[in-house]
Amino acid sequence: MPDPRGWKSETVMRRYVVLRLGQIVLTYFLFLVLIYFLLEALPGNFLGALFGESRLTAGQLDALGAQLGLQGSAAERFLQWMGGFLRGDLGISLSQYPRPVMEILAERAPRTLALFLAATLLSFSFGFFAGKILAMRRGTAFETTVTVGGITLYTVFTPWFALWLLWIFAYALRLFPVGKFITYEMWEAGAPDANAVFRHLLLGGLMLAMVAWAVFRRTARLIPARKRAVRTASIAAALLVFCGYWIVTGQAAYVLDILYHMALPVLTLTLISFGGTMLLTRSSMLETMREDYVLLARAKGLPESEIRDRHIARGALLPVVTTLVFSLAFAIGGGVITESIFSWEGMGYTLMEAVTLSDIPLAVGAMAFTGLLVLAAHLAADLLYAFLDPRIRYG
Amino acid sequence: MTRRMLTKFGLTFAILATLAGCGGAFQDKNVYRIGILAQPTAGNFWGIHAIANYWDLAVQSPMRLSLFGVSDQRFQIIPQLAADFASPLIPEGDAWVSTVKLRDGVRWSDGKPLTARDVAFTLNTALRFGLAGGNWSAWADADYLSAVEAVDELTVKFIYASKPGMARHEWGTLLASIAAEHYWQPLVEAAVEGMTGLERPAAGADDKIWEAYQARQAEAAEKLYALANKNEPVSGAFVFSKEEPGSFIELAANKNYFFSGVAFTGFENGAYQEEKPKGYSFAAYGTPEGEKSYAYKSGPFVSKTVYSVYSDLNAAVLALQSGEIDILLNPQGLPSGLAESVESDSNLEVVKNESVAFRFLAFNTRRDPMKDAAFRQAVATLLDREFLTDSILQGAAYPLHSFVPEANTAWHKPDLPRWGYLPDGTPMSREERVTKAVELLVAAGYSWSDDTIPVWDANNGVAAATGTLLLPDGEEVPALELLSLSYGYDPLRATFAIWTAQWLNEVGIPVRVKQLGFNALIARTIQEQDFDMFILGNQAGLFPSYLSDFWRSSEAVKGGRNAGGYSNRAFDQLSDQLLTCATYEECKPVADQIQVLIANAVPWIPLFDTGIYEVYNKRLAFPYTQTFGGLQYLYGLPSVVAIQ
Repeated sequence: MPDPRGWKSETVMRRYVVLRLGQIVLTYFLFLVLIYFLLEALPGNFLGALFGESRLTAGQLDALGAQLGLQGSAAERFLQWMGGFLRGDLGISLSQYPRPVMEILAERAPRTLALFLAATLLSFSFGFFAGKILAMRRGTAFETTVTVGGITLYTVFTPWFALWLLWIFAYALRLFPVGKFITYEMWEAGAPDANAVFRHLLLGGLMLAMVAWAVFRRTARLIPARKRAVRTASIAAALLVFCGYWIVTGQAAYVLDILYHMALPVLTLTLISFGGTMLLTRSSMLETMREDYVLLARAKGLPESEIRDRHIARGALLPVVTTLVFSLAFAIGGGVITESIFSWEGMGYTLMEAVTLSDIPLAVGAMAFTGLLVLAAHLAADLLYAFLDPRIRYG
Repeated sequence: MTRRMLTKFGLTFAILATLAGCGGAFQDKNVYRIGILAQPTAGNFWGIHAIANYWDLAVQSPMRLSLFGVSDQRFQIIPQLAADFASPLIPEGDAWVSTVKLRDGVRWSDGKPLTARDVAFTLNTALRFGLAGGNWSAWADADYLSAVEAVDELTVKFIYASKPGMARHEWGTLLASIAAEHYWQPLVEAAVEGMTGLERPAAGADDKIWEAYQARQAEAAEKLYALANKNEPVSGAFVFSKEEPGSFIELAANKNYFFSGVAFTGFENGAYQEEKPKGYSFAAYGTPEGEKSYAYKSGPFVSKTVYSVYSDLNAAVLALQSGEIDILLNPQGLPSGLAESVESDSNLEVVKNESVAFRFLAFNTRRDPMKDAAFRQAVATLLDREFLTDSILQGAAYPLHSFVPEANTAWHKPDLPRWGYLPDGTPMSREERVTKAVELLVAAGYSWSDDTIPVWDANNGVAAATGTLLLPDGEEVPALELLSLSYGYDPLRATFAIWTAQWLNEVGIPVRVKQLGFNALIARTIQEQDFDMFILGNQAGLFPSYLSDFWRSSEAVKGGRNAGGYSNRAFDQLSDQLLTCATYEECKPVADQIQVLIANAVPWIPLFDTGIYEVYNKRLAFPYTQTFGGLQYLYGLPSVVAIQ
């Protein structure tokens, strides 16, 4: 439908994006104010937490407070923090004094992103696949079994389940390490910096995703048999280049070590979260299956797998993709429980430690980072809606 | 489709299983693998001693030496970098001075000699930058220490503005870790280049001048803490080798370690001896003869010590059981249940030691009726610690009767007055406790609102008070609040709080328990000091100067250690004496008097301790495992541990 004001669709979209960016800036500022003062309102402060472990006298605590910049009112400290934030400085961590918050976040974010992106993508893929099967086999024993299993895992007490998996796979079977993200013997002198490998891994993953996206777009109009061949060959070539890069640069063993350490936490996260996507996909598929165009596809005599994958699943994708986008954004926040039990010192663990120790700059910094990504994800989801469903137009 | 998916999953699993096979192939047998529960803060020498946490010190201590240290098991002061004890303090003009002779031949890990200039540089830098907090408060207390001079290459002179006493001198400044001047000085000077206002004002200077000076010091200290410390030369048994933040820190054996091969011996008669082959021999605290309590040679016997970070205690114990680590450092040790669960593991050894921690009940002595010693004594009498530790907690804790643990043999005073015990030392029965507590209260002028006194109800096994306790002036005792940590945080302290409240209510003292999180409890008690009673824990030091901090009047300020506001001139005088006494012979009677005074006045009631459980792999050989505070207190003894 043409725009009543006569604007081109690009102009409408650009205007929408600018408007949403304005809203995001305002929301983000309110979010920062809220989290800062909520954290400040928590009982105790950093010196109090420190006091519990030391024998500092009142005078010594005062002197230390002055050195750490803990004097003045909460409002004064917030204004000071906000000024720094606008200059790109998130302040100095109190619990890891004198490390800048930005440095700590830059150290821990790649680890969290690698773990939680992998787990999120895997659990969504698995959940979406299982949901599709369930929708097509409704009313069978298979549906009941998988649904009950998925819901049980979805609602299981995470620390218990994670420790249980750790006990089985790391202690009893000795298949995996007891947490951490690297084997220290491999990373002795001469080894690359683990964070650099994490960053390369993420960058490589992003490039692979872009290649896959481009290949899928380019091959969309090919005949099915040729399409599959071209896609498989292209992805295999990209993977080969990817692996070749690691081998040539001598980092392959280190990447494998990280993947080896990721296996158990990713398995845990996938098992406990695929159920949600599975049920969402199932119900969305069931709704779509009632659409007339599905009936038409069946009347045309299309194979059942094609109806399921190309007609029903495509239509049912919208709510699932929206959830996926938000989950990806929240991946930066990590997970306190998973990161703690698997000794994966990432953003979730950092946030928990910061809040426990009343390290306000670090806690606010971590949340500000997560908040920014979540708001960006909101925008991305809105734009994806328009892309996935041509009926949706903004203006 | 299903078959294809199964193939994919099978393939993934096969790859992971192959990777799993690689995991164990790397283990080096001569590496001491220590598990730690938090990432050290990565601060430099100056920073970690200002905001020291256990994990920083655990990793730093094997790399550092001080002028003096403490002996094994007995914890007596012994020379480390010093060749002998410090000379007695003598007046020199307005100041007090003492000199220390350094050992000849000690080298930094980079091969350069460790001299008196290093000692002077370290402490003078701390004074210049006004380093506060953590260890610096004790090592470089600017209220006492004026300057440190290198008299010659091996002689250091300590200059104090006023007479410091053992607490500030031997147990303070002389225990300071020493940094390498040749490494740090250029960095320090570059960091503060162009900064003015770091010169200490004259004693009588205006407050504003002092404030400006302290602000400049804080600014300069921030620069100091931020200095990089890679490849810093050290004097301890290990040198820093590599760190992967969030995963591990690796220390390598220091080839220039002075004490390699030195034999250390402790004798049952209290004597201490150390001998370096073709080097020196030193003995103190008696004649080194008779039965030995320990004897070992110093290493390091391992090529590396690696600290692996585990964020979860249960996971760390699994790492111990699976052989990923040899020992787990945790200042609280292992919970008894967890220690018992691994006792049957044939690869692990479980040891238990008396810990340096204690739990106590504190009164707000600014408020009625807690300001009255008789009331506090009555509460202490009613509190049946043995019943709680033995019957309710089933031996998970043991009662404490002193704030100086028995294992600190040098300073503990035995036979202190105890409330709730018969003259022969046996705990009173419940009935005897109620009778005694009522007797104490009545004698101090208390009464009950219905003119009755609580009596023991033998049929129900409880005290039965029908009225509320009245203060000596006839006013009703207000509803009191006993603050405690929640069951989730510490079930032991929460249990003590619940039972204490019940016993007090039985005799007409209206008390209710309020459970809080740790931060909230600290805020209410230490910072706001808005409470009636609370139960918390603390740590005992080796030198009992901490007793002074807990109850001296000057600490009865918001944020101060004396949160209950206990004020007693006699105590303050003893406290001053404890901080200024110069020898053990002079200090011990003062410490004894303080312990007796506190036991009688009960501003705090010592409650219980749990001891400390530790587990280590049997491939480790320690020279001893029974020690005050456990192996945790010695950070796992990396410089002397051997691997069998």
